[in-house]
Amino acid sequence: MADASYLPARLSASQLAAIASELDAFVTAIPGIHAAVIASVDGFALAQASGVGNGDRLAAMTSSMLGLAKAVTTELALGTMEVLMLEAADGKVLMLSIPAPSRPLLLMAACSQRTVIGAVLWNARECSQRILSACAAS
Amino acid sequence: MSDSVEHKIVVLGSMGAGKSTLVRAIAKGRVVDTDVANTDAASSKLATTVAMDYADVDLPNGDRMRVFGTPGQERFSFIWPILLEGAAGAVILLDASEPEPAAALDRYLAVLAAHAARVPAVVGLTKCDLADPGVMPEMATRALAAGLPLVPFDAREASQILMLMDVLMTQIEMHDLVADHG
Repeated sequence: MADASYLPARLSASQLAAIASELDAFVTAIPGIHAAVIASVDGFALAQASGVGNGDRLAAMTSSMLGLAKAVTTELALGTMEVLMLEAADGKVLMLSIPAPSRPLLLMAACSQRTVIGAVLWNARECSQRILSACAAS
Repeated sequence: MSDSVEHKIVVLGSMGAGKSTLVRAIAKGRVVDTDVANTDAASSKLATTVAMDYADVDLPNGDRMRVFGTPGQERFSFIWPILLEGAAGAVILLDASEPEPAAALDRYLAVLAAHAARVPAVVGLTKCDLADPGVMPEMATRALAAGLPLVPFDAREASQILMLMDVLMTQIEMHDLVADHG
């Protein structure tokens, strides 16, 4: 399977390590996060935290969801797509695009119904900024 | 029958076989795409589909064809059954020059068997000019063994795409006839 031999173009081992530690910090900062993934724009998992779900599948699903969300915003001429939120009976999911200069990265976070989604969004944006800085350095 | 019919057609197949090219060509460029930058070093492609391509076209007889292109990579396999739901026909598109086209065919035949068992389908084979000459007859034999016609074609050529879709529509009509008359 081609997926197993994946080498992310342009991201160094130290950048990947920085992404993983920023994601861990994000998950630790907010109680109630069940799962979190940083993915490449084309759906490869670059970092994952917490235990619910399969990180590789969630990375591909995040890529598909944000790909469709982008198609919807284009169809409606709404400008740049930024955040997608999903609410289910037992939890909420937030997906956002991290605008890295050459190729965007994607962040997915799933949290419990009682977690305040605004706090998740604010922290996710902070995490995105720190990941962008980490990728710009080194 | 005077009522116009909607045909949902789903295009499955390997990454880089020409699924998005096919959907774009059918729609003459009017497509909804979910292309993003490809970061997989194993493929030289610049962009790749992450959710689906979509296009609709009016057929000369008043029918309407809705074409859904799928992402080819295994990691997007969760979306294949979603897109195959309600399909009237399917195209399995394969790149004759990929390392193991026969294995790829078997893989997508299994997807159809699992999620769209009775849906009429054709196999389209692209990039035959770049492949070993033995590939095409071997693939045709394999496809026929599964009951599907194989059409070698160029996904960039409108006339050749018409031929492929014509074979698929014939398959769909035959399927409907058999369904009507048992």
